[in-house]
Amino acid sequence: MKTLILFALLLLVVSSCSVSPQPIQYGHDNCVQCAMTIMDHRYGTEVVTSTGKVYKFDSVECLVEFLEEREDGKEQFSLVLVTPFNQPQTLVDARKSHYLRSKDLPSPMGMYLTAFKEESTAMSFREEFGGRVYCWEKLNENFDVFRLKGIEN
Amino acid sequence: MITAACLFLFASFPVQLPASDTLNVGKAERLTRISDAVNIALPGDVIRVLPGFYQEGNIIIDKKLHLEGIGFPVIDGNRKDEIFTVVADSVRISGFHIQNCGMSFVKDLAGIRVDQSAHCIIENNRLINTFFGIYLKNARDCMIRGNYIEGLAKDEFSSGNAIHIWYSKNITVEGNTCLQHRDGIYLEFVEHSSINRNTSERNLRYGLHFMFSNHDDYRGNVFRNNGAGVAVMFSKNIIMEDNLFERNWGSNSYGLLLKDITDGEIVRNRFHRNTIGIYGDGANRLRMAHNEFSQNGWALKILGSCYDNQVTANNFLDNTFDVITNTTVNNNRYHGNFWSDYTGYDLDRDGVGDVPYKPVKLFSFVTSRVPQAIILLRSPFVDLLNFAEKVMPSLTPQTLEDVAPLMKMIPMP
Repeated sequence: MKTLILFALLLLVVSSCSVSPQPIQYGHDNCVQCAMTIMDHRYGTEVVTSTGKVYKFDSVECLVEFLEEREDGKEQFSLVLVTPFNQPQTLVDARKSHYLRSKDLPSPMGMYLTAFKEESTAMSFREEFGGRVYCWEKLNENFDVFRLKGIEN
Repeated sequence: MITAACLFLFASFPVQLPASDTLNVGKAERLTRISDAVNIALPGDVIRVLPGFYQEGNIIIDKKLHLEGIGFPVIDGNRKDEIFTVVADSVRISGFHIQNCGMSFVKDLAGIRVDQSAHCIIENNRLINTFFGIYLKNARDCMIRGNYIEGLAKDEFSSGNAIHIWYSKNITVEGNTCLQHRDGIYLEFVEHSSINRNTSERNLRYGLHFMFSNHDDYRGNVFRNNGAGVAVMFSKNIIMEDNLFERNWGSNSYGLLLKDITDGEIVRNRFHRNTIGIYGDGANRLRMAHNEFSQNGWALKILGSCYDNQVTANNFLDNTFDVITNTTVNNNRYHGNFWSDYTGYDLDRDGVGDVPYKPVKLFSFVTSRVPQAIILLRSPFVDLLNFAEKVMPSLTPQTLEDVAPLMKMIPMP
Protein backbone atom coordinates (compact mmCIF):
# COMPACT_ATOMS: atom_id res chain seq x y z
CA MET A 1 0.00 0.00 0.00
CA LYS A 2 2.75 2.39 1.02
CA THR A 3 4.66 1.80 -2.17
CA LEU A 4 1.52 2.34 -4.17
CA ILE A 5 0.96 5.75 -2.60
CA LEU A 6 4.61 6.59 -3.09
CA PHE A 7 4.38 5.52 -6.69
CA ALA A 8 1.26 7.60 -7.22
CA LEU A 9 2.96 10.61 -5.70
CA LEU A 10 6.02 10.08 -7.84
CA LEU A 11 3.85 9.82 -10.93
CA LEU A 12 2.18 13.08 -10.01
CA VAL A 13 5.52 14.81 -9.53
CA VAL A 14 6.97 13.42 -12.73
CA SER A 15 3.90 14.14 -14.86
CA SER A 16 3.39 17.69 -13.67
CA CYS A 17 6.98 18.84 -13.89
CA SER A 18 8.50 16.90 -16.75
CA VAL A 19 10.52 19.17 -18.97
CA SER A 20 9.94 17.77 -22.40
CA PRO A 21 9.00 19.17 -25.79
CA GLN A 22 5.34 19.11 -26.68
CA PRO A 23 4.36 18.66 -30.31
CA ILE A 24 2.79 21.74 -31.87
CA GLN A 25 -0.82 21.20 -32.94
CA TYR A 26 -0.73 23.06 -36.23
CA GLY A 27 -4.04 24.67 -37.04
CA HIS A 28 -5.14 24.63 -33.39
CA ASP A 29 -2.47 26.14 -31.15
CA ASN A 30 -2.16 29.90 -31.03
CA CYS A 31 1.15 31.74 -30.91
CA VAL A 32 1.67 33.13 -27.40
CA GLN A 33 3.40 36.20 -28.78
CA CYS A 34 1.34 37.30 -31.79
CA ALA A 35 -1.96 35.47 -31.12
CA MET A 36 -2.07 33.95 -34.60
CA THR A 37 -3.04 30.36 -35.16
CA ILE A 38 0.14 28.40 -35.86
CA MET A 39 -0.20 27.07 -39.40
CA ASP A 40 3.08 26.66 -41.20
CA HIS A 41 4.71 23.44 -40.05
CA ARG A 42 8.13 24.54 -41.31
CA TYR A 43 8.31 27.44 -38.87
CA GLY A 44 6.82 26.50 -35.45
CA THR A 45 8.96 27.17 -32.34
CA GLU A 46 8.60 26.40 -28.67
CA VAL A 47 9.94 27.14 -25.19
CA VAL A 48 9.69 24.79 -22.20
CA THR A 49 10.36 26.25 -18.75
CA SER A 50 12.09 24.44 -15.90
CA THR A 51 8.66 23.77 -14.39
CA GLY A 52 7.44 22.15 -17.59
CA LYS A 53 5.27 25.01 -18.86
CA VAL A 54 5.20 25.11 -22.65
CA TYR A 55 4.96 28.25 -24.79
CA LYS A 56 4.41 27.82 -28.52
CA PHE A 57 5.10 30.28 -31.33
CA ASP A 58 4.51 30.47 -35.04
CA SER A 59 7.99 31.67 -35.98
CA VAL A 60 11.58 32.35 -34.97
CA GLU A 61 10.65 36.06 -34.80
CA CYS A 62 8.06 35.52 -32.08
CA LEU A 63 10.35 33.18 -30.15
CA VAL A 64 13.19 35.71 -30.02
CA GLU A 65 10.84 38.55 -29.07
CA PHE A 66 9.31 36.48 -26.30
CA LEU A 67 12.73 35.61 -24.86
CA GLU A 68 13.80 39.28 -25.07
CA GLU A 69 10.72 40.36 -23.14
CA ARG A 70 11.18 37.74 -20.44
CA GLU A 71 14.83 38.30 -19.70
CA ASP A 72 13.96 39.23 -16.11
CA GLY A 73 14.94 35.74 -14.92
CA LYS A 74 11.61 34.94 -13.27
CA GLU A 75 11.36 31.86 -15.42
CA GLN A 76 14.09 29.43 -16.41
CA PHE A 77 13.85 28.31 -20.01
CA SER A 78 15.09 24.74 -20.09
CA LEU A 79 14.33 24.04 -23.70
CA VAL A 80 14.34 26.49 -26.58
CA LEU A 81 13.27 24.74 -29.76
CA VAL A 82 12.87 25.52 -33.44
CA THR A 83 11.63 23.58 -36.46
CA PRO A 84 14.28 23.00 -39.13
CA PHE A 85 12.84 24.22 -42.44
CA ASN A 86 13.64 20.98 -44.24
CA GLN A 87 12.30 18.77 -41.42
CA PRO A 88 8.75 20.02 -40.86
CA GLN A 89 7.02 19.14 -37.60
CA THR A 90 10.18 18.30 -35.73
CA LEU A 91 11.78 20.36 -32.99
CA VAL A 92 15.51 20.80 -32.35
CA ASP A 93 17.64 22.93 -30.01
CA ALA A 94 17.42 26.56 -31.12
CA ARG A 95 20.71 27.52 -29.51
CA LYS A 96 22.60 25.02 -31.66
CA SER A 97 20.69 25.76 -34.87
CA HIS A 98 21.58 27.98 -37.81
CA TYR A 99 19.44 30.70 -39.35
CA LEU A 100 19.25 31.74 -42.97
CA ARG A 101 17.98 35.22 -43.68
CA SER A 102 17.05 35.40 -47.35
CA LYS A 103 14.59 37.67 -49.08
CA ASP A 104 13.38 34.73 -51.14
CA LEU A 105 12.24 32.82 -48.07
CA PRO A 106 9.54 34.89 -46.38
CA SER A 107 8.82 33.66 -42.84
CA PRO A 108 5.51 34.04 -40.96
CA MET A 109 6.38 37.30 -39.18
CA GLY A 110 8.03 39.22 -41.97
CA MET A 111 11.70 39.04 -40.98
CA TYR A 112 12.81 36.29 -43.39
CA LEU A 113 14.23 33.97 -40.73
CA THR A 114 14.47 30.28 -41.52
CA ALA A 115 16.00 27.73 -39.14
CA PHE A 116 18.20 24.75 -40.00
CA LYS A 117 19.66 22.13 -37.72
CA GLU A 118 22.99 21.79 -39.51
CA GLU A 119 25.12 24.65 -40.75
CA SER A 120 25.80 22.69 -43.93
CA THR A 121 22.09 22.47 -44.74
CA ALA A 122 21.71 26.20 -44.13
CA MET A 123 24.62 26.83 -46.48
CA SER A 124 23.17 24.63 -49.21
CA PHE A 125 19.84 26.49 -49.01
CA ARG A 126 21.83 29.70 -49.16
CA GLU A 127 23.32 28.52 -52.43
CA GLU A 128 19.81 28.33 -53.87
CA PHE A 129 18.09 31.28 -52.22
CA GLY A 130 20.90 33.68 -51.32
CA GLY A 131 21.11 35.59 -48.05
CA ARG A 132 23.21 35.20 -44.90
CA VAL A 133 23.52 32.50 -42.29
CA TYR A 134 23.62 33.35 -38.57
CA CYS A 135 24.21 31.25 -35.47
CA TRP A 136 21.84 31.70 -32.50
CA GLU A 137 24.04 34.28 -30.75
CA LYS A 138 24.54 36.37 -33.88
CA LEU A 139 20.83 36.14 -34.64
CA ASN A 140 20.02 37.64 -31.24
CA GLU A 141 22.71 40.29 -31.56
CA ASN A 142 21.33 41.42 -34.92
CA PHE A 143 17.66 41.01 -34.15
CA ASP A 144 16.96 44.70 -33.53
CA VAL A 145 18.67 45.60 -36.78
CA PHE A 146 16.51 43.05 -38.62
CA ARG A 147 13.43 44.49 -36.99
CA LEU A 148 14.15 48.09 -37.90
CA LYS A 149 15.68 47.64 -41.29
CA GLY A 150 14.23 45.82 -44.24
CA ILE A 151 16.11 43.18 -46.13
CA GLU A 152 18.48 44.03 -48.96
CA ASN A 153 20.11 40.90 -50.29
CA MET B 1 8.38 77.39 -88.51
CA ILE B 2 6.11 75.64 -86.03
CA THR B 3 4.35 73.78 -88.84
CA ALA B 4 7.67 72.71 -90.17
CA ALA B 5 8.67 71.38 -86.78
CA CYS B 6 5.37 69.52 -86.53
CA LEU B 7 5.80 68.04 -89.95
CA PHE B 8 9.27 66.95 -89.04
CA LEU B 9 7.99 65.30 -85.89
CA PHE B 10 5.27 63.42 -87.74
CA ALA B 11 7.67 62.34 -90.42
CA SER B 12 10.20 60.95 -87.99
CA PHE B 13 7.61 59.18 -85.78
CA PRO B 14 5.03 57.72 -88.10
CA VAL B 15 1.74 57.20 -86.30
CA GLN B 16 1.10 53.48 -86.00
CA LEU B 17 -2.35 52.09 -85.50
CA PRO B 18 -2.39 49.49 -82.72
CA ALA B 19 -2.52 46.37 -84.84
CA SER B 20 -3.65 43.85 -82.26
CA ASP B 21 -4.20 40.37 -83.59
CA THR B 22 -6.44 37.66 -82.25
CA LEU B 23 -5.02 34.15 -82.05
CA ASN B 24 -7.34 31.21 -81.51
CA VAL B 25 -6.17 28.17 -79.56
CA GLY B 26 -8.15 24.92 -79.65
CA LYS B 27 -8.04 21.29 -80.59
CA ALA B 28 -9.31 21.99 -84.11
CA GLU B 29 -7.28 25.18 -84.59
CA ARG B 30 -3.85 25.68 -86.08
CA LEU B 31 -2.59 26.43 -82.57
CA THR B 32 -3.34 23.67 -80.08
CA ARG B 33 -1.17 24.84 -77.18
CA ILE B 34 -1.52 28.07 -75.22
CA SER B 35 2.24 28.34 -74.72
CA ASP B 36 2.83 28.19 -78.50
CA ALA B 37 0.36 31.01 -78.96
CA VAL B 38 2.10 33.05 -76.25
CA ASN B 39 5.46 32.46 -77.97
CA ILE B 40 4.41 33.73 -81.39
CA ALA B 41 2.06 36.50 -80.21
CA LEU B 42 3.11 40.13 -80.30
CA PRO B 43 2.55 42.48 -77.38
CA GLY B 44 -1.03 43.70 -77.38
CA ASP B 45 -2.49 40.58 -79.01
CA VAL B 46 -5.51 38.68 -77.78
CA ILE B 47 -5.30 34.90 -77.34
CA ARG B 48 -8.71 33.23 -77.36
CA VAL B 49 -8.66 29.77 -75.84
CA LEU B 50 -11.56 27.60 -76.98
CA PRO B 51 -13.21 25.00 -74.73
CA GLY B 52 -11.07 21.91 -74.08
CA PHE B 53 -8.60 20.32 -71.70
CA TYR B 54 -5.09 21.77 -71.70
CA GLN B 55 -2.18 20.30 -69.79
CA GLU B 56 1.01 22.16 -70.67
CA GLY B 57 2.91 22.56 -67.42
CA ASN B 58 3.94 26.06 -66.45
CA ILE B 59 2.81 28.78 -68.89
CA ILE B 60 4.95 31.91 -68.65
CA ILE B 61 3.47 35.12 -70.00
CA ASP B 62 6.28 37.57 -70.69
CA LYS B 63 4.55 40.19 -72.84
CA LYS B 64 1.42 42.32 -72.75
CA LEU B 65 -1.36 39.92 -73.75
CA HIS B 66 -5.04 39.30 -73.14
CA LEU B 67 -5.67 35.62 -72.55
CA GLU B 68 -9.36 35.02 -72.89
CA GLY B 69 -10.98 31.68 -72.05
CA ILE B 70 -14.11 30.93 -74.06
CA GLY B 71 -16.57 28.64 -72.24
CA PHE B 72 -14.12 27.99 -69.38
CA PRO B 73 -11.38 25.86 -70.99
CA VAL B 74 -9.75 23.62 -68.38
CA ILE B 75 -6.07 24.28 -67.66
CA ASP B 76 -4.71 21.42 -65.61
CA GLY B 77 -1.42 21.52 -63.69
CA ASN B 78 -1.24 17.75 -63.32
CA ARG B 79 -0.42 18.32 -59.61
CA LYS B 80 3.16 19.18 -60.58
CA ASP B 81 3.42 22.76 -61.72
CA GLU B 82 2.50 26.31 -61.19
CA ILE B 83 0.04 27.15 -63.97
CA PHE B 84 0.12 30.78 -65.21
CA THR B 85 3.17 32.89 -64.32
CA VAL B 86 2.88 36.52 -65.39
CA VAL B 87 6.12 38.49 -65.65
CA ALA B 88 4.99 41.36 -67.88
CA ASP B 89 2.87 44.49 -67.38
CA SER B 90 -0.72 44.91 -68.56
CA VAL B 91 -1.53 41.22 -68.87
CA ARG B 92 -5.16 40.20 -68.62
CA ILE B 93 -6.33 36.66 -67.85
CA SER B 94 -10.04 35.93 -67.89
CA GLY B 95 -12.50 33.09 -68.21
CA PHE B 96 -10.34 30.06 -67.41
CA HIS B 97 -10.98 27.02 -65.28
CA ILE B 98 -7.63 26.37 -63.61
CA GLN B 99 -7.12 23.24 -61.59
CA ASN B 100 -4.71 20.87 -59.86
CA CYS B 101 -1.71 23.01 -59.22
CA GLY B 102 1.43 21.37 -57.83
CA MET B 103 2.40 21.53 -54.17
CA SER B 104 5.91 22.32 -53.10
CA PHE B 105 7.44 22.53 -49.74
CA VAL B 106 9.83 25.40 -50.53
CA LYS B 107 7.99 27.24 -53.30
CA ASP B 108 4.56 28.78 -53.06
CA LEU B 109 3.13 27.41 -56.31
CA ALA B 110 0.00 29.16 -57.53
CA GLY B 111 -2.78 28.93 -60.07
CA ILE B 112 -1.94 32.41 -61.34
CA ARG B 113 1.18 34.25 -60.23
CA VAL B 114 1.91 37.88 -61.04
CA ASP B 115 5.55 38.66 -60.41
CA GLN B 116 6.99 42.21 -60.48
CA SER B 117 4.34 43.50 -62.82
CA ALA B 118 1.84 46.35 -63.05
CA HIS B 119 -1.62 46.99 -64.51
CA CYS B 120 -2.60 43.33 -64.70
CA ILE B 121 -6.21 42.17 -64.56
CA ILE B 122 -7.19 38.70 -63.35
CA GLU B 123 -10.92 38.27 -63.70
CA ASN B 124 -13.78 35.78 -63.83
CA ASN B 125 -11.65 32.67 -63.52
CA ARG B 126 -12.42 29.50 -61.58
CA LEU B 127 -9.52 28.07 -59.62
CA ILE B 128 -10.04 24.65 -58.10
CA ASN B 129 -7.50 22.84 -55.96
CA THR B 130 -4.67 25.21 -56.62
CA PHE B 131 -2.22 25.30 -53.72
CA PHE B 132 -2.16 29.10 -53.72
CA GLY B 133 -4.90 30.54 -55.92
CA ILE B 134 -3.84 33.98 -57.13
CA TYR B 135 -0.42 35.14 -55.95
CA LEU B 136 0.83 38.72 -56.41
CA LYS B 137 4.43 39.52 -55.59
CA ASN B 138 5.93 43.00 -56.03
CA ALA B 139 2.93 44.03 -58.09
CA ARG B 140 1.18 47.38 -58.41
CA ASP B 141 -2.03 48.77 -59.89
CA CYS B 142 -3.57 45.36 -60.45
CA MET B 143 -7.17 44.16 -60.32
CA ILE B 144 -8.39 40.77 -59.08
CA ARG B 145 -12.09 40.59 -59.82
CA GLY B 146 -14.90 38.05 -59.83
CA ASN B 147 -12.83 34.91 -59.42
CA TYR B 148 -14.09 31.76 -57.72
CA ILE B 149 -11.31 30.04 -55.77
CA GLU B 150 -11.97 26.79 -53.99
CA GLY B 151 -9.34 24.72 -52.24
CA LEU B 152 -9.57 21.25 -50.86
CA ALA B 153 -7.71 22.11 -47.69
CA LYS B 154 -8.54 19.55 -45.06
CA ASP B 155 -5.55 20.31 -42.88
CA GLU B 156 -3.08 23.14 -42.55
CA PHE B 157 -0.30 21.32 -44.44
CA SER B 158 -2.02 21.08 -47.77
CA SER B 159 -3.23 24.63 -47.94
CA GLY B 160 -2.00 27.93 -49.28
CA ASN B 161 -3.99 31.15 -49.40
CA ALA B 162 -6.73 31.71 -51.97
CA ILE B 163 -5.50 35.24 -52.77
CA HIS B 164 -2.00 36.04 -51.55
CA ILE B 165 -0.58 39.53 -52.01
CA TRP B 166 2.95 40.37 -50.96
CA TYR B 167 4.89 43.64 -51.20
CA SER B 168 2.41 45.31 -53.50
CA LYS B 169 0.44 48.52 -53.79
CA ASN B 170 -2.74 49.87 -55.37
CA ILE B 171 -4.37 46.48 -55.72
CA THR B 172 -8.15 46.06 -55.99
CA VAL B 173 -9.64 42.73 -54.90
CA GLU B 174 -13.33 42.73 -55.74
CA GLY B 175 -16.21 40.28 -55.86
CA ASN B 176 -14.17 37.12 -55.42
CA THR B 177 -15.24 33.97 -53.62
CA CYS B 178 -12.51 32.34 -51.52
CA LEU B 179 -13.26 28.95 -50.01
CA GLN B 180 -11.40 26.37 -47.99
CA HIS B 181 -7.83 27.61 -48.01
CA ARG B 182 -5.46 28.60 -45.21
CA ASP B 183 -6.39 32.31 -45.37
CA GLY B 184 -9.02 33.50 -47.82
CA ILE B 185 -7.20 36.74 -48.63
CA TYR B 186 -3.72 37.38 -47.25
CA LEU B 187 -1.90 40.71 -47.46
CA GLU B 188 1.65 41.28 -46.27
CA PHE B 189 3.37 44.64 -46.83
CA VAL B 190 0.49 45.83 -49.01
CA GLU B 191 -0.39 49.52 -49.23
CA HIS B 192 -3.24 51.63 -50.63
CA SER B 193 -5.34 48.65 -51.62
CA SER B 194 -9.06 47.90 -51.49
CA ILE B 195 -10.78 44.62 -50.68
CA ASN B 196 -14.44 44.94 -51.60
CA ARG B 197 -17.53 42.71 -51.77
CA ASN B 198 -15.70 39.38 -51.50
CA THR B 199 -16.99 36.27 -49.79
CA SER B 200 -14.57 34.26 -47.65
CA GLU B 201 -15.84 31.03 -46.19
CA ARG B 202 -14.62 27.84 -44.52
CA ASN B 203 -10.98 28.89 -44.49
CA LEU B 204 -8.83 27.15 -41.91
CA ARG B 205 -7.34 30.29 -40.40
CA TYR B 206 -8.63 33.73 -41.40
CA GLY B 207 -11.10 34.98 -43.97
CA LEU B 208 -8.94 38.06 -44.51
CA HIS B 209 -5.54 38.72 -43.00
CA PHE B 210 -3.53 41.95 -42.92
CA MET B 211 0.14 41.81 -41.89
CA PHE B 212 2.35 44.92 -41.84
CA SER B 213 -0.01 46.64 -44.26
CA ASN B 214 -1.01 50.31 -44.07
CA HIS B 215 -3.63 52.59 -45.64
CA ASP B 216 -5.90 49.84 -46.90
CA ASP B 217 -9.64 49.39 -46.75
CA TYR B 218 -12.15 46.57 -46.91
CA ARG B 219 -15.86 47.10 -47.48
CA GLY B 220 -18.96 45.02 -47.99
CA ASN B 221 -17.33 41.60 -47.57
CA VAL B 222 -18.81 38.48 -45.98
CA PHE B 223 -16.68 36.39 -43.61
CA ARG B 224 -18.44 33.25 -42.56
CA ASN B 225 -17.38 30.06 -40.83
CA ASN B 226 -13.64 30.65 -40.91
CA GLY B 227 -11.16 29.74 -38.17
CA ALA B 228 -11.51 33.45 -37.42
CA GLY B 229 -13.11 36.11 -39.60
CA VAL B 230 -10.52 38.83 -40.13
CA ALA B 231 -7.14 39.46 -38.52
CA VAL B 232 -5.63 42.92 -38.77
CA MET B 233 -2.12 42.78 -37.35
CA PHE B 234 0.79 45.21 -37.12
CA SER B 235 -0.93 47.65 -39.43
CA LYS B 236 -2.04 51.29 -39.53
CA ASN B 237 -4.95 53.20 -41.02
CA ILE B 238 -7.21 50.36 -42.05
CA ILE B 239 -10.83 51.24 -42.90
CA MET B 240 -13.35 48.47 -42.21
CA GLU B 241 -16.91 49.19 -43.30
CA ASP B 242 -20.17 47.37 -44.08
CA ASN B 243 -18.80 43.86 -43.60
CA LEU B 244 -20.58 40.84 -42.19
CA PHE B 245 -18.73 38.65 -39.68
CA GLU B 246 -20.76 35.56 -39.09
CA ARG B 247 -20.45 32.21 -37.33
CA ASN B 248 -16.73 32.34 -36.67
CA TRP B 249 -17.10 29.93 -33.84
CA GLY B 250 -14.59 27.92 -31.76
CA SER B 251 -12.44 28.06 -28.66
CA ASN B 252 -9.93 30.53 -30.11
CA SER B 253 -12.17 32.17 -32.65
CA TYR B 254 -13.07 35.78 -33.35
CA GLY B 255 -15.06 37.78 -35.81
CA LEU B 256 -12.32 40.38 -35.95
CA LEU B 257 -8.89 40.12 -34.35
CA LEU B 258 -7.00 43.38 -33.87
CA LYS B 259 -3.38 43.01 -32.84
CA ASP B 260 -1.02 45.99 -32.62
CA ILE B 261 -2.90 48.33 -34.91
CA THR B 262 -3.55 52.06 -34.77
CA ASP B 263 -5.86 54.58 -36.40
CA GLY B 264 -8.65 52.68 -38.05
CA GLU B 265 -12.36 52.90 -38.60
CA ILE B 266 -14.77 50.06 -37.86
CA VAL B 267 -18.14 51.29 -39.08
CA ARG B 268 -21.51 49.72 -40.01
CA ASN B 269 -20.33 46.12 -39.69
CA ARG B 270 -22.45 43.25 -38.41
CA PHE B 271 -21.07 40.70 -35.97
CA HIS B 272 -23.43 37.78 -35.63
CA ARG B 273 -22.87 34.56 -33.66
CA ASN B 274 -19.12 34.72 -33.22
CA THR B 275 -17.35 33.38 -30.13
CA ILE B 276 -15.83 36.84 -29.72
CA GLY B 277 -17.05 39.69 -31.94
CA ILE B 278 -13.96 41.90 -31.78
CA TYR B 279 -10.80 40.92 -29.92
CA GLY B 280 -8.44 43.84 -29.37
CA ASP B 281 -4.85 43.52 -28.13
CA GLY B 282 -2.70 46.60 -28.64
CA ALA B 283 -5.42 48.31 -30.67
CA ASN B 284 -5.31 52.09 -30.40
CA ARG B 285 -7.18 55.15 -31.65
CA LEU B 286 -9.90 53.20 -33.43
CA ARG B 287 -13.43 54.42 -34.03
CA MET B 288 -16.13 51.77 -33.71
CA ALA B 289 -19.51 53.15 -34.65
CA HIS B 290 -22.88 51.98 -36.03
CA ASN B 291 -21.94 48.33 -35.76
CA GLU B 292 -24.35 45.63 -34.70
CA PHE B 293 -23.24 42.88 -32.32
CA SER B 294 -25.81 40.13 -32.00
CA GLN B 295 -25.74 36.74 -30.28
CA ASN B 296 -22.00 36.61 -29.80
CA GLY B 297 -20.36 34.91 -26.82
CA TRP B 298 -18.49 38.12 -26.07
CA ALA B 299 -19.26 41.14 -28.24
CA LEU B 300 -16.01 42.92 -27.38
CA LYS B 301 -12.91 41.62 -25.68
CA ILE B 302 -10.70 44.65 -25.24
CA LEU B 303 -7.47 44.03 -23.37
CA GLY B 304 -5.68 46.56 -21.18
CA SER B 305 -3.19 47.21 -23.97
CA CYS B 306 -5.86 49.12 -25.93
CA TYR B 307 -6.02 52.93 -25.65
CA ASP B 308 -8.15 55.80 -26.89
CA ASN B 309 -10.73 53.82 -28.78
CA GLN B 310 -14.20 55.27 -29.32
CA VAL B 311 -17.15 52.89 -29.06
CA THR B 312 -20.21 54.92 -29.98
CA ALA B 313 -23.66 54.41 -31.46
CA ASN B 314 -23.50 50.63 -31.74
CA ASN B 315 -26.23 48.07 -31.09
CA PHE B 316 -25.42 45.31 -28.61
CA LEU B 317 -28.14 42.68 -28.94
CA ASP B 318 -28.42 39.48 -26.90
CA ASN B 319 -24.74 38.76 -26.46
CA THR B 320 -23.82 36.42 -23.60
CA PHE B 321 -21.38 39.10 -22.46
CA ASP B 322 -21.18 42.58 -23.93
CA VAL B 323 -17.67 43.67 -22.97
CA ILE B 324 -14.81 41.94 -21.21
CA THR B 325 -11.39 43.23 -20.32
CA ASN B 326 -8.48 42.02 -18.23
CA THR B 327 -7.72 45.19 -16.26
CA THR B 328 -9.48 47.36 -13.73
CA VAL B 329 -8.67 50.60 -15.53
CA ASN B 330 -10.37 51.74 -18.66
CA ASN B 331 -8.68 53.77 -21.38
CA ASN B 332 -11.44 53.73 -23.94
CA ARG B 333 -14.68 55.64 -24.39
CA TYR B 334 -18.06 53.91 -24.54
CA HIS B 335 -20.82 56.40 -25.29
CA GLY B 336 -24.35 56.43 -26.66
CA ASN B 337 -24.73 52.75 -27.54
CA PHE B 338 -27.84 50.61 -27.32
CA TRP B 339 -27.43 47.66 -24.93
CA SER B 340 -30.24 45.10 -24.93
CA ASP B 341 -29.26 44.12 -21.36
CA TYR B 342 -29.76 47.66 -20.07
CA THR B 343 -32.40 47.75 -17.34
CA GLY B 344 -32.32 51.46 -16.50
CA TYR B 345 -35.07 54.03 -16.96
CA ASP B 346 -35.57 57.29 -18.81
CA LEU B 347 -37.69 59.64 -16.66
CA ASP B 348 -37.06 62.76 -18.72
CA ARG B 349 -37.93 60.83 -21.90
CA ASP B 350 -35.01 62.14 -23.94
CA GLY B 351 -34.22 58.68 -25.29
CA VAL B 352 -31.11 58.36 -23.14
CA GLY B 353 -31.10 56.22 -20.00
CA ASP B 354 -30.73 58.13 -16.74
CA VAL B 355 -28.33 55.70 -15.13
CA PRO B 356 -25.07 54.61 -16.76
CA TYR B 357 -24.74 51.09 -18.14
CA LYS B 358 -21.78 49.01 -17.06
CA PRO B 359 -21.17 46.46 -19.79
CA VAL B 360 -18.55 44.45 -17.88
CA LYS B 361 -20.24 42.00 -15.56
CA LEU B 362 -18.39 40.65 -12.57
CA PHE B 363 -18.91 37.12 -13.76
CA SER B 364 -17.44 37.75 -17.20
CA PHE B 365 -14.46 39.20 -15.35
CA VAL B 366 -14.18 35.97 -13.39
CA THR B 367 -14.31 33.88 -16.54
CA SER B 368 -11.49 35.88 -18.08
CA ARG B 369 -9.31 34.78 -15.14
CA VAL B 370 -10.72 31.26 -14.77
CA PRO B 371 -12.21 30.19 -18.10
CA GLN B 372 -13.63 26.99 -16.63
CA ALA B 373 -15.96 29.05 -14.43
CA ILE B 374 -18.18 29.49 -17.51
CA ILE B 375 -19.93 26.29 -16.46
CA LEU B 376 -21.65 28.32 -13.71
CA LEU B 377 -23.06 30.81 -16.22
CA ARG B 378 -26.75 30.22 -15.57
CA SER B 379 -26.51 29.63 -11.82
CA PRO B 380 -28.61 31.93 -9.58
CA PHE B 381 -25.58 32.60 -7.43
CA VAL B 382 -23.90 34.27 -10.42
CA ASP B 383 -26.88 36.60 -10.83
CA LEU B 384 -26.51 37.48 -7.18
CA LEU B 385 -22.79 38.17 -7.64
CA ASN B 386 -23.44 40.37 -10.69
CA PHE B 387 -26.08 42.29 -8.82
CA ALA B 388 -23.81 42.83 -5.82
CA GLU B 389 -21.07 44.12 -8.12
CA LYS B 390 -23.52 46.43 -9.87
CA VAL B 391 -24.46 48.01 -6.54
CA MET B 392 -20.93 48.16 -5.18
CA PRO B 393 -18.32 47.85 -7.91
CA SER B 394 -15.01 46.54 -6.60
CA LEU B 395 -13.43 44.30 -9.23
CA THR B 396 -14.73 45.53 -12.56
CA PRO B 397 -13.26 48.68 -14.12
CA GLN B 398 -15.26 51.52 -12.57
CA THR B 399 -14.89 53.98 -15.39
CA LEU B 400 -15.86 51.47 -18.06
CA GLU B 401 -19.42 52.61 -18.48
CA ASP B 402 -21.75 54.13 -21.01
CA VAL B 403 -23.13 57.27 -19.40
CA ALA B 404 -25.58 57.78 -22.25
CA PRO B 405 -27.07 54.36 -23.02
CA LEU B 406 -29.85 54.57 -25.57
CA MET B 407 -33.36 53.38 -24.76
CA LYS B 408 -34.12 52.33 -28.33
CA MET B 409 -32.18 50.36 -30.88
CA ILE B 410 -30.39 52.43 -33.46
CA PRO B 411 -31.91 51.76 -36.89
CA MET B 412 -29.31 50.19 -39.14
CA PRO B 413 -29.41 50.38 -42.92
